[in-house]
Amino acid sequence: MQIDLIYPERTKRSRRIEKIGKVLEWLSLATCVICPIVNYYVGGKAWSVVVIWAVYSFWSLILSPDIVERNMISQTAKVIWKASVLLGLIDYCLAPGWADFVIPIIGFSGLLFVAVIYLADYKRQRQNAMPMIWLFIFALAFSIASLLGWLKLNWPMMVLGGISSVLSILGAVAFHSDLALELKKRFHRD
Amino acid sequence: MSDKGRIVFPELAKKDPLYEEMLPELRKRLALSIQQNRLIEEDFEKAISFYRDRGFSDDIIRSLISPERLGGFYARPATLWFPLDNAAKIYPLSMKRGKMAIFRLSVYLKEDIVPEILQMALTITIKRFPVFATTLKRGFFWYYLDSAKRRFIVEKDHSIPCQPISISRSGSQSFRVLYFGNRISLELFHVLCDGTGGMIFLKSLTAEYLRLLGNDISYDDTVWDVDAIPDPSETENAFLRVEKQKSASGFMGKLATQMSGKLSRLCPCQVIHFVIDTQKLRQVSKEYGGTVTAYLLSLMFLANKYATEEREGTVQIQVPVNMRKYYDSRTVRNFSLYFSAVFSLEEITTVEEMIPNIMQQIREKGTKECMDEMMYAAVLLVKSLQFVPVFLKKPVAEVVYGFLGDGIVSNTLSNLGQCTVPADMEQFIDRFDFVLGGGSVQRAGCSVVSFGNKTVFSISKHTADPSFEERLYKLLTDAEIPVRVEGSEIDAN
Repeated sequence: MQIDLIYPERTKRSRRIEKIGKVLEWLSLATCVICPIVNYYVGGKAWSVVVIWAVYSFWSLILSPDIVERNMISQTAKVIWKASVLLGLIDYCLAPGWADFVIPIIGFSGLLFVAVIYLADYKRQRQNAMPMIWLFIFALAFSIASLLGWLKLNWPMMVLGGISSVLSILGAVAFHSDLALELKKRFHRD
Repeated sequence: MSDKGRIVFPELAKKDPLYEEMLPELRKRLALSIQQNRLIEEDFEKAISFYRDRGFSDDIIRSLISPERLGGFYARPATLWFPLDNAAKIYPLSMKRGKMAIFRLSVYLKEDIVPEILQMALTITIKRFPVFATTLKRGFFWYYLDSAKRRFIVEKDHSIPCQPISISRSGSQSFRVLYFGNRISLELFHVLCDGTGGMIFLKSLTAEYLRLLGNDISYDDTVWDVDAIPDPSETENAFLRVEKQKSASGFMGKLATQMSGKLSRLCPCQVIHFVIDTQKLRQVSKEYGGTVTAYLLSLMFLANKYATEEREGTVQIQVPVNMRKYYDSRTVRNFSLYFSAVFSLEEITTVEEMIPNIMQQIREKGTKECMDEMMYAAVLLVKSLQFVPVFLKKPVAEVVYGFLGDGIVSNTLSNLGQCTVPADMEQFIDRFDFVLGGGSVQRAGCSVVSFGNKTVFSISKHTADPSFEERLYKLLTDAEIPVRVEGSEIDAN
């Protein structure tokens, strides 16, 4: 059976990118298997947990990014929470005593950053507001938790609470119709 | 020459007077990003340049690509959105990196494609199909389609058909328009539409392309007037039309026997077309007392049996059913269901013996009652899952769809039937073809479409093992049906 080719060949570049991706995936997987074993036999602090989270973050942000909705706002939100968890793990497993100060700083910087992205490219980003709304909700929840004494109350946490409250109120007033439409779409059930 | 400190090259800066004349009107209709606006302006400029080379007069050019033809599509903000129809809801839940439910429809014209004009045709046509001008978004309970205002692009074909489409970016297209030689291809993510809906879009796009080349092409039910106002009935979720049934069934089934070749990483790893004489195919089918679909199914059963090492089990071939034949719907979105033609391996013997049984299965399983029961099951399923968040549904759907949904069929035969176009369009078209994307465990998926006297039977392969298509080829040629074989290279590494 003779096949007449009527389609172009795949480019070498796409094959090369695919191969590099595969190699990196296997390297990541090997790291996640080897590190806990080495950590277990060498003993000491649980540094392998930090490594595994860092590799997972790299995997989900770079090697296997979101198939749907990979935009500036969603990726910034993802980086913020993955970095916060990583810092929390470093604090808990390796060098305690600073994460409850640093994580809120990353949180409010991130909030300001996504707010700037939203406003700077409003026409396009108004359809991507949901990750930003989640970020604001989490920031408010953490601030309330610290006010209730469940988390340490310090100035970065107060700034996080202040910024998230002010931006939430301003956003609700200025963009209420857009946000209402966005919430309607995101929570539809039909 | 210097103009306020900038170096201006007169030969580059000089624009066509007609383009300059159109520009203010064009700019009134463009409210995209600066870059996107600029690109659409360049499309107009390139099209005018093409028309100049072909000797078109200013009046004709004005009538063909008047900025008014863009309507308000590119000037209005993106506010439309569409919940996914009942059939589409499974696709984003079950998709994985490198695995998407994509299908391709192609039209082969009698002359090479002019990319500039095809781009203009798409820019004008897309406004008529608002459901195609969307991006997939993730809601809390279900995914949905959010309208995207952008310049939808045509690309040169560059790979094996039906490879995943990048839909992640803000405003990404959920379809591709590709050109290669004399072929225009439309690759669609199944969340948008089924084969019938896709074919309406492709034919309307092709008709507009031909019109922009200066031909008079009329409209009909499947070639839509791209300047008309879209009607909500064209984007309805027609599954909701089903009335309450006594029973709801049709999705479950036993695991089917699969062909034995090793699954390739790339899916599909090869596409093969059998270009067949329609009259001869009909004549042979008639001689066996069956329809073309029944005859092709019998050949597929035989080829499936040949391509598997298994000696026990059942071969189940999924046959999509266009629900528009039972419901008067103009929707371009998904409105198809399916049934499975089933034979145990021992029952797969000869075409003569199998065709009566296949015809009976088609008559019994493809009835409106059976399809209504399945449609009702789909509606109930969606209702029952409406409060379950996507992050819980997705992992379950990935497993269920991968191993059960896909595993209960050995192969697929999707027949779009005889494709028709308005009489004044026929002379420009050589043929159509239709390619399915790959499944998770099926080694092949087959599809058929006919135009004029050419039937194209396409196989999308998910394995390097050539037994299936070689057997089919032998069966067809043994029946004295002349077959021309075309396709892609194989990439099974």
